[in-house]
Amino acid sequence: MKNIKYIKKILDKLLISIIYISILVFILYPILCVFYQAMFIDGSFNVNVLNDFLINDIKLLGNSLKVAILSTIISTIVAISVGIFYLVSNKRTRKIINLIMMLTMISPPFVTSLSYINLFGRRGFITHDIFGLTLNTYGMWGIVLMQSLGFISLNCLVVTGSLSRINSKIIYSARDLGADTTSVIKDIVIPLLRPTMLIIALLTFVRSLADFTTPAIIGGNFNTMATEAYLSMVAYGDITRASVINVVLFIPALFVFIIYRKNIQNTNMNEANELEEDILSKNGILYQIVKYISLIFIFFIIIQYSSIFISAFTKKRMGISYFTLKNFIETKAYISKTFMRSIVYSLISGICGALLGILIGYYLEIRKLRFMDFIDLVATMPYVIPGSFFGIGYILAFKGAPFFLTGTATIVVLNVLFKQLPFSSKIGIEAANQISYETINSVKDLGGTDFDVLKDVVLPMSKNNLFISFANSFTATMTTVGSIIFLVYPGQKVATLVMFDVIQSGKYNVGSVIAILIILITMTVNILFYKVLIRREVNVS
Amino acid sequence: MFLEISNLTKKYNNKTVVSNVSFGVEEGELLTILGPSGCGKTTILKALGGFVKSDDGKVILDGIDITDFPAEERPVSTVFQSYGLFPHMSVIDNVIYGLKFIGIKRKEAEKIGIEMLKKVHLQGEENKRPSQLSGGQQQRVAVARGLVTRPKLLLLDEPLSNLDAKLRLELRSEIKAIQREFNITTIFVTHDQEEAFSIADKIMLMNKGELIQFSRPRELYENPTTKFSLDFIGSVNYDEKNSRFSRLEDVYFDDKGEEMEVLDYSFKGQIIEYTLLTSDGTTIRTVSLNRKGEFAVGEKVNAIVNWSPLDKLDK
Repeated sequence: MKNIKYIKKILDKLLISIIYISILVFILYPILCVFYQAMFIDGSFNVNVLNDFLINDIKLLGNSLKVAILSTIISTIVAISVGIFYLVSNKRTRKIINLIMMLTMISPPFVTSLSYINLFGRRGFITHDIFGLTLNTYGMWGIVLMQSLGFISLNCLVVTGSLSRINSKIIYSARDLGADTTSVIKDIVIPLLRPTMLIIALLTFVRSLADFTTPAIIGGNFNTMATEAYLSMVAYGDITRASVINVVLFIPALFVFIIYRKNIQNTNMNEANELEEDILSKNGILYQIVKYISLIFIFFIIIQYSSIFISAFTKKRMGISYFTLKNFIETKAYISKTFMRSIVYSLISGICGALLGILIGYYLEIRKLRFMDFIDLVATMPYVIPGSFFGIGYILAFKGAPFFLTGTATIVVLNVLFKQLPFSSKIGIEAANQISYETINSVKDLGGTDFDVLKDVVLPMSKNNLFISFANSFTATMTTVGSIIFLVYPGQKVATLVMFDVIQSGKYNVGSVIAILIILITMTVNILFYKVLIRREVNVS
Repeated sequence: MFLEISNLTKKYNNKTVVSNVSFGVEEGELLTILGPSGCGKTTILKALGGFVKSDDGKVILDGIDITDFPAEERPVSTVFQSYGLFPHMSVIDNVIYGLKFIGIKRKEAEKIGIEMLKKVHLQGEENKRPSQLSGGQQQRVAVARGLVTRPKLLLLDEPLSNLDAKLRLELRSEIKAIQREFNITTIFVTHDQEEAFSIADKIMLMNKGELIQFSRPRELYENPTTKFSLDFIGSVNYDEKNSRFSRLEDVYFDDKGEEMEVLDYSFKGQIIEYTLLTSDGTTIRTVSLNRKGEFAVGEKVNAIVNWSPLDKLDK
């Protein structure tokens, strides 16, 4: 009996060590490596490269800021509008909006750029085929539009989440006192959404700065810092310059990170409810405005996905498009083993991420271990740091002894796992907070150890959260590009990277096919897990 | 009648939650809707406030048919159970919010608001946020906000249920006092019969979406018209064999009474509740004030029971 207790104690300590060490080694250490690479040359402090960049390439900074500010403004305004439209809408419209948000969430990030080329490129369906123009539509506005379109869904999800935390009685009270829909939106909804607006604007800003795929695909001659870092790495193999640019990109990210951490603590207080229907009547000028903005957004998304679908199933002969499955056959050559690899990586990252997230939640919220706050802080950082920053960090950190991970599958899996960890740890913390101290104390009261609490209470009670966490990480890994693009060796490509490559080399039809395949896989997994979740909930009640 | 509701019916997914309910309230009267949870009382309130559309029925307030008016156009104010205060606005901004929709300028509105806050004993709290107030104070802000636009009808949805027992008593009499002062027609929803009895001019008892009894409080207690009224209100002894019932206070110790045995007794502070066994095997309960000379379990006592017949009740 005593032995078992002793073993359980050791196991507990072992788990704690794994968490502490893995987060410090696989998140903090790579970040520090990038800083070191950027600011030290041959072991001594040297910021010449940084100075050089700031003096000679200040235009890139300007370009990045221009794009980021515009994308932030557009996607924040549209996301808030769609969120409010969602609030006023009935169940059916809400379902459609949910579906659209889900569809974009499970698509690779540069699907928007691909459809932009399909529609407005040199041989674009709208510009060339309908209007007979051969335009150069590559440039800043293309980037801004496509980035915004890509960010809107994610932002909108945050907005509807915040809206569901508003007590419906607040809105009823306002109406009761004579406020019409316009007044309720102006006086109640928007002021209550202010912290959310700040969060989504800041996150969009940072993501836009870090995004190199959109400018790389549709930027044409228009370069940003992110593309420059990407090119430094891929075309010139200049890791110091790439590090320097990423360090510059890191500064706003850090700033956003601090505000994000502060706000997230404030917003977790209220419980989310399902938004009531018919909470506001569908009239008034503000309602009309958000309605039209939302309809335009929905229209764009529909066009976007139709264009990918059409492009996957058609080919052009003498300027005329015809239906064919040839694209699928052609795609086979590019993806022989990639999809299996993508799925396996995503499964590993999904399962390990979910477990690690719950463990962080348990040791942080229930055990309240020392330094756990710091560990959680570090674990959340990948949420805002640029993907390429994280990727370069991994190259620098794990190339030498004792790791020697360069070019292995392990480094890729570790990278995606820790890049997605912020989602998982957030869900894990929520799960831990749902468990009452009475339940935990009962285990101990009946003779259980801390390890028994974890095994018999925390893990079984967090099953739903584990599922959600898994589906999240799986999807994120299936669609990621940024952090792993420098880590994957040519023979070991994953689906998103192949898609990125074929689009860059102009094979848009093949790109569309791969996009559809990725979407199908993530959709299947998400629907599967949603069904499991629903069944579990039915069984419980 | 100042407020007249006729044939109000509301269904959710084919489940009838309010079934063909008609009633009226005189001007300045306080009506309490009383009933167990799920009886439809809150739905009636929502229908009156304009937050749910009834499937059938009519609502006439001060001679105007408001059945199809949206919430914002009804001269009706609701104080919600969770108050629904605007968390991002100060107390005074909460209170005067409704005034801007009837065209009152900010300066004038503030004056009215401060007057109103005085009436609910909240002077000096104007610039605080709702989250800085206690539950009782938040409740007062909600009442002040509801009254400031001088509505014709005030609706209170279990307004005291989030407060502790002592504060509940205090606010109950405050609400009654304010209601009298403003002479405002009020509907007060509760599941607490003591609350209903102490505050209401009239009580409407509901169960499963139906109106069970509509009467003055004393009448509801003393002359229940249905088995449900009898059961739900107060405590009661049944003698099924002889089809009769008695309230606990209709049983009293008296030497001329029937001999019974004390089966159990429980001490409740001001009163003691006894369970007695009659010679024909019926158990009955009674209460007596906590004065000297309590009986012990097993002791023989004499008591008189005033029975009423059960068959005059519906159902």
